[in-house]
Amino acid sequence: MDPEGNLLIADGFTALYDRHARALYRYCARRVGPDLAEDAVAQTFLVAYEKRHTVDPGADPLPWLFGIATNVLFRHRRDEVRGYRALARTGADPLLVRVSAESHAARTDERVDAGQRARLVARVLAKLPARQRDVLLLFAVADLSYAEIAEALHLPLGTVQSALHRARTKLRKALDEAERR
Amino acid sequence: MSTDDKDLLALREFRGALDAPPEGVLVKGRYRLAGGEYRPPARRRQWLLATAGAAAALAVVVGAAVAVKEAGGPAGDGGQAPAGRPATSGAPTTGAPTNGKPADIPVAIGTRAPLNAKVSGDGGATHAKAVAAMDRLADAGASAQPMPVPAGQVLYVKTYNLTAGEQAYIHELWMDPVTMVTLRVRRTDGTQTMDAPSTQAEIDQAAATPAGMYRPTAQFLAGLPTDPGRLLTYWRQWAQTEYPGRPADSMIWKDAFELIDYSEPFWTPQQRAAIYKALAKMPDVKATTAKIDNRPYDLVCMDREPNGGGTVDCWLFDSATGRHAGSAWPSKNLALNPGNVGLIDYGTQPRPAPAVRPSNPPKPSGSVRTK
Repeated sequence: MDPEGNLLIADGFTALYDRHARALYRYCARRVGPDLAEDAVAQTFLVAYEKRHTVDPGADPLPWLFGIATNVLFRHRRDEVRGYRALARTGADPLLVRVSAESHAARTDERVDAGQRARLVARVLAKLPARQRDVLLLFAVADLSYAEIAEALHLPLGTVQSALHRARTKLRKALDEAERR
Repeated sequence: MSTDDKDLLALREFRGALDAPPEGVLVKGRYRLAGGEYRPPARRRQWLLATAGAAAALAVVVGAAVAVKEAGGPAGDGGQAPAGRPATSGAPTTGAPTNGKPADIPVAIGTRAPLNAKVSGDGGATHAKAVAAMDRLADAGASAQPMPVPAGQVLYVKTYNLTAGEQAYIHELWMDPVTMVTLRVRRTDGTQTMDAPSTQAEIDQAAATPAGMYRPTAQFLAGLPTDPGRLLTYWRQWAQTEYPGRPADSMIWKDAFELIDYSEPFWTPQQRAAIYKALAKMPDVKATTAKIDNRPYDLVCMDREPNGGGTVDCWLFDSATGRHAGSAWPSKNLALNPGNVGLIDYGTQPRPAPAVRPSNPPKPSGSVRTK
């Protein structure tokens, strides 16, 4: 037991947490916001701890952790999609209200453009099937490779590739259409 | 990155302002894990609910005399254990989390399970035995009526293993019997105790979620099919919605925790029979018998990770009364020992006061005290 009363240290789980919690938080926060992300990250590590005997000790644990986090986030999918829809509809991101209100740069053209792109991205994300959204965000935000996503989500590699291709095609098409206007 | 990657650029820009966690969040999360020592699989949700959104550092206290005062003494508090729990007069206490007063354990006099009791499993688990056991247990439990909860009292559930010292594990939960929302959790691992009363906001938030498998209210229980086949179909549909593409029976087994551990005292005989027989209809469920302190139990298990994992998820039922008696997480051979068996007691206690937490949690270090 460490000075903080930490019971997990013997299993190296605190080291795992220290190393990967920030990356997982980033992924979760972008999807469901800071408050739920905090819980999702903690829950991810609790689940991981319970399943620690099922993972290859020599393997990179990050894809495994992202897979658990994705499953944890699945419980919040309605909140997630609701957030995307609100942003797409109103231009105000419910997860970013405080940030944008405090930012002077929010009034600049650059920020306006970014805001429009955010609405468009949110609109596409809201309409994507859950699996395509998972794959897309694991690829773009979590920076996992095809193989790592396949490992994380327990999907065949080909399924990951096709899901990612479909999701990216939809987003590109939406961006192209926005540029032409 | 090429212009073809503009979609990825847009995604990486999207909500980038959220990337940096607020100060202290990850430290807090790390500390929350400190209380998450592995015990029975899939036994975390209620603990998480009770502490969600809270500064867990605040919750990690021994709370010795205060806890005793809030919880009230078990003797004479109207508590009840699954009938027939071995009486253990003269048995040593199970490492009480309080100031040495045995009054907090057990729920009712005479229900305390013995420490380091003789525990044995009969092995040879099969599905046919599970079907037969659940039929038998449903018949045995036909006389068990829903537990009354006096006004001003709440459901109190105590789960504990049969070991002492560093290996002792005691999980206490106070739950609103109407909303089935957790009001307080106190958990003792060895010499460390985590006390986590919920705030009123957390209680209200949990009560606002739809009743269901995670919040099995009386109304939800009354709406469940009483035909075991239809009940299993309902569960499987629910599991497929919650866990698309995952093995439904495994997910049901994992997520039946609140249903079985917390709503069991309120089951009618019809509900008990339907639930038992529906569980037995899952092809991967196997059962055998076991003895704890020479009292017979039925051990009903599912190996949720047949190609891996180290343990099997089991429920324990009192063979004589048909009541749910706890859980076990033995290795694949289903060998039981005092450390992998958790017995459960039910009772009622006064409603705990909601927690009031300041906005800034204290630093984690120094928040833990040991006995």
